[in-house]
Formats: sequence, C-alpha cells, structure tokens
Amino acid sequence: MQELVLNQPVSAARSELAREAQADARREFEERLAECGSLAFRVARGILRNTADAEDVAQEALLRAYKSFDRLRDHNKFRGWLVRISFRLALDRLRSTKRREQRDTLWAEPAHVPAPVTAEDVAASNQFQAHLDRALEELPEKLRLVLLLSAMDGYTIEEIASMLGVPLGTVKSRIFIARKKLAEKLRCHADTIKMR
Amino acid sequence: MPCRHYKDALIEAAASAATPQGELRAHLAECASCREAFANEQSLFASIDSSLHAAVNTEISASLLPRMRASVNGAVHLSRSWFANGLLWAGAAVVLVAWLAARGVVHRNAENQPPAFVASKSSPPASVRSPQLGVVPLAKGAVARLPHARALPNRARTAVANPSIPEVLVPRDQQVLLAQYAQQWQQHRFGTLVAGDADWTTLTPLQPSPIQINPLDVKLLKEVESK
Repeated sequence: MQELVLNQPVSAARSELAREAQADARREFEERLAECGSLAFRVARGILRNTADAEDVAQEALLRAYKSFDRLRDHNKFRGWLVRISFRLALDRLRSTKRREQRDTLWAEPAHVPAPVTAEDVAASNQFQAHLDRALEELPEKLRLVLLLSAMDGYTIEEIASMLGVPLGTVKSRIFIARKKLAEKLRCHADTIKMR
Repeated sequence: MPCRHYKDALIEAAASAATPQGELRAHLAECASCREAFANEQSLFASIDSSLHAAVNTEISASLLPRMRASVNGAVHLSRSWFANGLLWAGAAVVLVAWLAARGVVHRNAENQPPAFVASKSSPPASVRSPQLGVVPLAKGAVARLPHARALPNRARTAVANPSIPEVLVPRDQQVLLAQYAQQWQQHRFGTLVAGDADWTTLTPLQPSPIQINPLDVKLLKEVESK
C-alpha cells in the first residue's frame, strides 16, 4: 500500500516529463519541416523527375524522419539525415518503377509515346534528357547526391559539406568527378547537344 | 579534333568551370580546333548543369507542406490510437489472466480443503489413541467402508489418498459424522451443514420454576407517625 502511494507521484511526474519532451520534439520537428520539406522534395524530384512521385517520396521521408526523430542524437544534422532518407526512398521508388515498366512492356503492348509536336530542338532536348537520366543512374550514389545538392538553388558547397558531414574538399572533388563522368557518357551525344 | 597534348587539360578546365590559365590559355588563342573542342565541352557541361538545375529546382506546389504536416499529424494520432488500443488490450488480458488465476485457486481450495477433515494415513499410530479422541482413520479403504463413502466424488477420494493432507483429531464417535460433513462440504451443500441434520425432537421443553412473590404488608401512615 505504502509502496503504491510512494510510486504514484514519481510515475506521474515521469509521464508528465515524457509528454513535455514529446511535445517539444514535435514542435521542433514542425519548425524543421517547414525548412526541410522542400529540400526533401527537391532531392526526390532530382532522382525521379516526376513531381507526383517526388511529393509522395518527400512525404514518406518526412514521416519516417518524424517517427525516428527522438533517435537522432544531434538535431543539427537533421537536414543531412532527411536528405539521405529522401534520396534512398527516391532510389527505391525509381528502381521499383523501372521494374514495373519492364514488366509492363513484357506483358502488354508498348506504351503509346506521344509524337513530338514542337520543334526539332525539343526532340533533341528530350533525347538529351533521356541520356542524362541514364548517365545519372549509372553514377555512384555518393557522387549523385552531391551533384544533385549542388544543382539546387540556395545551397553553397560549404552548406552541402556541413549537411552531409563531409569535408569541403571531398564535396568539391565529388562534384568534379561526377560532372566529368557525366560528360564522358554524354560526349557521344554531342550532336544532340549542339542542337539545343 | 583537339590537340592530344591539351585534350585532358581542356576537359578538366571545362569540368571545373574555370577559365583556362597559362599555357592552355595561350594554346587556345592559337589553335582553332582546340578552341572549338573547348567550346563544345563548355556547352556539354552547361547542358548538364542546366538540365540538373531544371530537374531539381521545380516549383513546389503550395499544398505540399500542409499535406506533409497533415500526414505527420495523422501519424501522431494513429500512433496514439494504437497506443490506447494496446493499453486497452493489455488491460483486458491482465484482467482475464487474473480471473483465470483466481478461479484456479478457488478450485484448488475446494478440492483440497474439505477432505482435510477426514484425511488420515492408512493406520493411525497407537500412541494417539485415547478414549475420547482419535486420529481419523479415513484412508482410502476406510472411506470406502463408510456408509456414505460410495457417494463421495472421485476427486474427494483422491484427495483423501493424498498423504500431503494434514491429519486432524476428532472424537471417535464423530468419525462418521465428520465424513458426512466433508461429503456435504464437497458437494457445496452448506445449508444442510448448518441445520440439515439437527434433531429438534431430542430437545426437552423448557420448564421454568414458578415465581415466588411474598404478600405485601400494608400499614397506615398514621400508625407510623404516632410511633
């Protein structure tokens, strides 16, 4: 009996503290959501090249981040963490989409591709885009992520380095190598580039 | 075709988006084919950059952030309702287990306790025999010989045979009575245990002795005052 009386206030206080901590974490997460939601979307968009899919992936990435937010020791690394989650999810989505497309082309009639109605340069541009997408997919993930982040507006190389927790020189060299690799793969399509 | 010697330097300069310096710059000023190759490389990198830029910096729909907030809030409510449901189920499980345990204990007590009044080992020790009290010799065989023994349920018989049940001392002439009492207890007939076997005819009627009242001695007040 006495034990119950003694334990009750302690457990109540603990649960109160836990509730407060949870509320604080949620408030903090909501603040970060406004800041990083668009970042998650852009990363996904850079991989998937499809706005609807990118929105789905960004939403899922934020949900996952929220569920594991209390496990993140350093909350200052939230942006980099979210970027990685979004990047991984987007890659998974891309792979599954490709698999589905392959299945569909095997079992169904090939999808109807609308004939280009605009000028020749648009056709060339689409062709170049397709080559670029393929070349990007073949890039190692580390290079690909850095390249995407460097292409985003509003993020300097220093910010990317701090976001990913890697040295500035590493970011620079990754960007350089990634661009060079892309150029090597796309050089044979120089004629389409000329048309742009 | 660019000059073989400057090819790598040209590509690296274009890749790093830097202006050619020193020897390369001087060579570009002289060599038209290298200038053309360098322009092509710059165009290639510009195309890559612009394409990436366009892919990444698309306009974000105004409803995206509210939707994200809503999905996070939905997840919070969902996890809370899961938590509440979990608590509810856990509570129900605890109550069920407690009820089952209590039921088991009650059953065990019902099986074990009543036969304890009639239990004994097969033969009582001689030392405890006395004219007034004796150890109830109601082991398996003894119980069977009792008038009501056949009516005892099996679990009572097994309980009697159980050596772990303690022995009790009872007056010799009450052994059979106790066996009957135990049987009644076993069958949960508690009403008859209290009043069922009472023999009201053996009670003698109450015979109170008549009250002795002495006659009153009345005296006049005048006589008392004159005295």
